[in-house]
Amino acid sequence: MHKFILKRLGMMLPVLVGVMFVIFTLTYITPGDPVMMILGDQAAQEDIVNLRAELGLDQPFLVQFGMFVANTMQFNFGTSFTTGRPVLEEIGFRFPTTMQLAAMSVVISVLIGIPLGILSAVKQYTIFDNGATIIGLLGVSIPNFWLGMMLIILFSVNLGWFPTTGFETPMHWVLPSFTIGISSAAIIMRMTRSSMLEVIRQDYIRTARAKGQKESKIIVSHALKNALIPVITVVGLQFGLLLGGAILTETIYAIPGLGRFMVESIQRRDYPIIQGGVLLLALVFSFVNLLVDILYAFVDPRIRSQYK
Amino acid sequence: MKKSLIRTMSALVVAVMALTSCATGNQAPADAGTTGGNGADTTAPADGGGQAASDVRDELIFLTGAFPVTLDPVMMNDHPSAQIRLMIFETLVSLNPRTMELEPGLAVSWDFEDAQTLNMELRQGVYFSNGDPFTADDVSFTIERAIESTHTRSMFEMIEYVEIHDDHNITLHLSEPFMPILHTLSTGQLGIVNANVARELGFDGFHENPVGTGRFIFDSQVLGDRTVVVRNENYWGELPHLRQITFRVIPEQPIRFIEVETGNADIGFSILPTDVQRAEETDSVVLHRHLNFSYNYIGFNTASGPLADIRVRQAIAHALQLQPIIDNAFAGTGMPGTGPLTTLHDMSIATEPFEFDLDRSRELLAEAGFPDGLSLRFWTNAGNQARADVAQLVQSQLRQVNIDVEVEIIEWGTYLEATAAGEHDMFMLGWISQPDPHFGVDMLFHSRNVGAPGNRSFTVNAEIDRLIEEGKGELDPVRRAQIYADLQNAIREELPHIFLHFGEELIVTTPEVRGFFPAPTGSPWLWEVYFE
Repeated sequence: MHKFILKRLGMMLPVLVGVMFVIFTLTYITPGDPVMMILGDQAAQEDIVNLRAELGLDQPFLVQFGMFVANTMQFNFGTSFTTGRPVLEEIGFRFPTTMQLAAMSVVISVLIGIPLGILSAVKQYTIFDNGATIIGLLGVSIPNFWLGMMLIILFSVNLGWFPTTGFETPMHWVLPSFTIGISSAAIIMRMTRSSMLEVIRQDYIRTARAKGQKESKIIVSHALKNALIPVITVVGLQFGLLLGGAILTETIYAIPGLGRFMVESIQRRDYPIIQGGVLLLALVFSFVNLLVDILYAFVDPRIRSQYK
Repeated sequence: MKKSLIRTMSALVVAVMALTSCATGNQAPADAGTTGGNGADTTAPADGGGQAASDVRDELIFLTGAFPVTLDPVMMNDHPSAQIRLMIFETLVSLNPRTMELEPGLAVSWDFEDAQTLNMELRQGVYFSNGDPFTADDVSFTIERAIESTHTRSMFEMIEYVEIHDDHNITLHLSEPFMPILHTLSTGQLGIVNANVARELGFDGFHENPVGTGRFIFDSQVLGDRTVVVRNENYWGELPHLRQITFRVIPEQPIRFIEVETGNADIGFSILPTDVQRAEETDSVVLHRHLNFSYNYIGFNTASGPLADIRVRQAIAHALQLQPIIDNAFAGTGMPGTGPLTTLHDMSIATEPFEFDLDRSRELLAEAGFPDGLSLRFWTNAGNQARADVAQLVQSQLRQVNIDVEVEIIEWGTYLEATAAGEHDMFMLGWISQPDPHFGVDMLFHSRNVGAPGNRSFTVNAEIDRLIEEGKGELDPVRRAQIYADLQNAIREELPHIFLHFGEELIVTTPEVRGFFPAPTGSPWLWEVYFE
């Protein structure tokens, strides 16, 4: 198992180098000049040239990329073009907020999605199943920004139960986490339902029933565990999507997170922040994938034996 | 089986807890992203309006749209930074937002020796928030620093040097006659900094520890979220009513409105024009509106393509009805443009409007060689619904004279680059200037500013250039007013822009807020604010 984890960690290196190349190339070829963003419309040509040289943006592509890789290897991500603060400080402060938001959204989506999926499968084609399917469809279809606004109007303005913006106290966490978590919950519910349906029709479940085991035990102990593998995969993938979903949610709820900051940085062409931020998110996503692989082993002994 | 299921679930829980604890770990009060200033105890209120220990509230929450880029006066060109800078720093000359008159600031008096020499007497008994006395050395250093900074050099390079006579008397020597110099001295980028501190900290360090003479002192900042300033108890003038102001970032305009409406904040800056009616109807907010210096225009590429022909530009001007565009795109706020200078500018005049006349428009197109109409591209930037609406309304109105407008909505950075390179036909942009008319015309219409600096219509007109140069150097106010009247008419004749819209400040406050005035400059004097 340890060998497997080390091997997977080693495999992350080329992935990250690939991400570095892609993100650097994309920022390089995207139109828009960071110097103009910093100096504004009224800048003199001389100042534009000077600042471009100061930031190293007048160098050829390969030189710039080489410097970027060399600096990144030394954990030197540079300073923000616009604020002048170190990238690690800017990103490091906002990253935990976004991670917390994404993690809580995953918990909410799992807590809603898995039980509803199980019930839908067990009560297939009943009113409950059809109702859950409709709710699931709505959950996937409703755009985050609209849902966020509606939750604010209902729970903050009309009922006054939760604060509208910010992220300081647990009460602040509820609406944003639900806003992001609902769409994922719907996807997880659908996946759990179909996976469970496949499993509960298998012979060993019928055998368990024939042995007279309680239905609840059959579902939880025998069926769910085998149905979980694809669900875990989806939850892992959803985590990446939730990090992306945080962008809109952080804007609506005025949460000082990495998602909103990344969008602002892209608009300002703040290359060091964009590159550092994307690299960090790629690293997180790689770790989540590794976690998913490890979880497979916990859930399925057949996979565990392959890891040895 | 049961055991392994428990193990599985435990692993899930541990993983989630690890992620969450990693997240909350940095939420401690002394977190990495919180920078402390030179004030006293300063934990910002977690939420809701701040409540002082006494009966009268003296803590204000001001909602703005973005986090300030930097608090160093010479390093910023964004609105949120300017609003906070106004609290911390003072300028030599102060622009009163109510009267639009220039008033003594850190300079108590001034006189022009000639058009290139300005004598100023500085205020005595003024101290910086760290206790250092304010002297002529700070003024000289601030101006030199602003000229040294790549961010502000072009704004202040007309100041050749500062001659110091003694601690409180200076002379500014200008490289050319430049009458808008007093307005220039009132701009936030020339907020006087403490020379000792700024020398010691340099450009990189000063923005985290800004020291000025203003009514408030920088206190703390939570990155991306809020900036707190507290009252400067040693301020030389009348002390503000408020003890603390928290500038919070709420990017979405409707949410800013809601936060004020629900009493979680006191002032919401810049609400959506479409929320004006709601603001007027509800008792829980007070709407403050005032025309400001924003000028929205539809620009033409006068250098190439069909729009290089003045007759095509005139044909478009005769085919457009501005009021319906403003009613739809700006929800009726502001007013139709009457010239290149907003009505708030000194010396602005209402130029003769182009009469709505479709026959005349078709005639002009035929004369220009387009009897069957033509196709044009209209560019605007993504993320600005009002501009997108304008583009569509223009498209629909010009269809009547067989001008087929293709609307393209382009990402902001790309948009700026492409319009600076002259790749466009028509485009839409805004310009926010200062009261002196020079600032409303120089960047937009002088041939030396073609492209990125601001003249994106590529206007090259010797008469316009001459009048701009004459206007900025003329000492006599009557002659100067005549020059600017001629200049506005000359721009109207050249027609590089459709003078579409003069904007309006739309700010909401709670009913308890008193003494608030929606400054047309976009930076209100919050020290006048108090609670009922």
